[in-house]
Amino acid sequence: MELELTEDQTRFREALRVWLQQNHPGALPVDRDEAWAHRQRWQARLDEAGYAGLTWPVEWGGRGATTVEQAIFNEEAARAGIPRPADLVALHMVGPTILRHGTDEQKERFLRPILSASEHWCQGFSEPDAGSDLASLKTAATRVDGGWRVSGQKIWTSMAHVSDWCVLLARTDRDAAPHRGLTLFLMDMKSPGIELRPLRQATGDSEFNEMFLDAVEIPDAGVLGEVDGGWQAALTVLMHERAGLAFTSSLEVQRELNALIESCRERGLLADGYVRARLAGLQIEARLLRLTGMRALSREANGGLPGPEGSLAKLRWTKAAQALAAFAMDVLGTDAVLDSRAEGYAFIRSRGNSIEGGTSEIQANIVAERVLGLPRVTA
Amino acid sequence: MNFDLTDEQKTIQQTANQLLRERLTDQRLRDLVEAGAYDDDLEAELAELGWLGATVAAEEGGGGMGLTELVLLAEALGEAIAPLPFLATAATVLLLDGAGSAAQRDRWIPGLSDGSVHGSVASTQPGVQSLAADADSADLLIAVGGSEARIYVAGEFEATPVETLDVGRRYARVEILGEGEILPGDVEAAWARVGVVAAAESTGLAQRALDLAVDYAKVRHQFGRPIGSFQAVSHRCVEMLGELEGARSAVRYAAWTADRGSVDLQPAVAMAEIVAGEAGWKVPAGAIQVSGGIGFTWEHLAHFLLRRGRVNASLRCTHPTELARFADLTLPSADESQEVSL
Repeated sequence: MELELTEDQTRFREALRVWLQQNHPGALPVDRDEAWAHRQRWQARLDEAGYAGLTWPVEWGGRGATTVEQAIFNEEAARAGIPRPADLVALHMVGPTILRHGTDEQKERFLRPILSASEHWCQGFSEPDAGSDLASLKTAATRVDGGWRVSGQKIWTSMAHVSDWCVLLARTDRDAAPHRGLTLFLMDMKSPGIELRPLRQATGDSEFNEMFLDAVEIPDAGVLGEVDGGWQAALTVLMHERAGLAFTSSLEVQRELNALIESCRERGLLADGYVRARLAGLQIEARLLRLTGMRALSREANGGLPGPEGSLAKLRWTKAAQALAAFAMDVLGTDAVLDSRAEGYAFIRSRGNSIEGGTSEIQANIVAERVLGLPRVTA
Repeated sequence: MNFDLTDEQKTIQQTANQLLRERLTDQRLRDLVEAGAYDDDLEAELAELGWLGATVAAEEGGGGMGLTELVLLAEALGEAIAPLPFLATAATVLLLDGAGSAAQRDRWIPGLSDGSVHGSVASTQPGVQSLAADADSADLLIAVGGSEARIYVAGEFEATPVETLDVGRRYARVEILGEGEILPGDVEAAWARVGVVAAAESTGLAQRALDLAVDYAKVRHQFGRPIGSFQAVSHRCVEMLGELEGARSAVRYAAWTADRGSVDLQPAVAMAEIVAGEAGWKVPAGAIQVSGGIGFTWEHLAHFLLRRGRVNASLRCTHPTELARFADLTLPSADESQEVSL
């Protein structure tokens, strides 16, 4: 499904295709640590060629490109089988948030190392008692001379163990309404008082961590945006998380579906009417994800901001990804349950899609309230 | 890469919605259904506005619009549950314009565009008696079967009115009596365009159904609060929005491929028919559910939407058939496989 590009966009795509062909980093190593290093090197190379942070302003290391060019990049990368950059949190969430809410000093200090993958970030938002109800979080920051002292606990902090910095949401005003007393901080992960404990996921790996903060000191320069204005900045982070997911994920779903179709063909299953019908249904879902992503991009390109439609996109992507992973298990039979098979891992991993980045239930609430205008759940 | 509507297209959409909303109040719709009548005055008004020959070239007296614009009109008419033979006319025009000879076009298109002539289209499948909308009042019938289409004039076909689930639209069983005249052009491409317009109407039905549900959920109070604040209700509405948006994306894309002669036309149209066909009855079903008891009454508009959506889906895209067709267009062929070993 090719939609038409302008001459400039076509030139951009052609140059990119050539560059990707000449600079393909090769297959992703199976070992997780090696894969991480592979992605880091790849991101540094992208940065050298000016392809990391495409949409960032030129003065801060980007190309000032449009979301359309970013989409073209994502598509070409998917087509070429290129691995994702090392640190999506930094590149797609923290960077844009610093660009939007940060001081010039913060932009000077943090943006370049994000682009070159020389510094890594984690997101310290959720807590054991504050997941979907994020605004009820309890990690507290008290004012000290020249800065803040933070104590509390965060959970589900991905890649904290390899992170240099953390974008942390903490309570700075206990008397204000829950979402009005929060501040977003940039926390140095080398600070004394930070303890990490890995959490093991249902898939067996430990990408997550619990993070314990015991009187961690953060200077004033580490406040991102306004004191007590952290909720707005946090929403920026979360919105970018969702928008990023929508378009890229549609390409991944298509790729995984193509792989499944090939597996079915190899096993002689494509003659079966039921299998064909189910695959056709999944094919439709994959294409709809892409089309809806393109419509959102066109709206953005015409001046709109990523909005609550990102939640609808995330909802649909989740359903498609889970249906695809489940159907793969249905058709591949006893082969697929072997521990060595990718399909089995993908099946377990897919159950997390409807929880991470905002649960499907919360996404549905967002769409209901902000797209359909239905009354809030709690009056 | 612009997948959004242009300002011009948005204006067409807004104008169409406003006009139909003014002309077709809920009560007028019910009255016309009771009377088994169409809104002839409205049809004349639309003819004058150039809607009936919307996609015919301007030099030939048409609106000179693309399929994308016709799709917007069809969506608006779906939303309005319009009591008009619009779809039958649009289908006839699309087939003649796309696949007819110059003589056939000259003879029929002007009359179809100004509303003085009525056409009907039937899909012929072996062993199945075809149902055609508005065939009983048609001056000409085009019968489409695979890649062939023939045109029949009065006397060459017989149309026997039948009652269907869609109480607001006239259907008839058609029997071919004469030889007819073959349409020499690309019938498959023209028939694909007809499919997109039908899918657009179904999308409009879904839009109206979602609006009914959401509006009701905001004002109906139970347990001391609007029912839309209960997640069981609001999440159902979100599901419906997802179905509607899927239909809209698929239809817009299909119209885009048709307007640009893209090689992806056939799969795009099959997808639009499947997705919009489903949304056309599922979203109205959701509207009935959200509306509770009154949603299940005759007076409530939801069942009219459900009826039209269900008939559209049954006639234009019987789900298993279209899905199999889409599968054949987008998956490796079954022949490429080895022996089945399940």
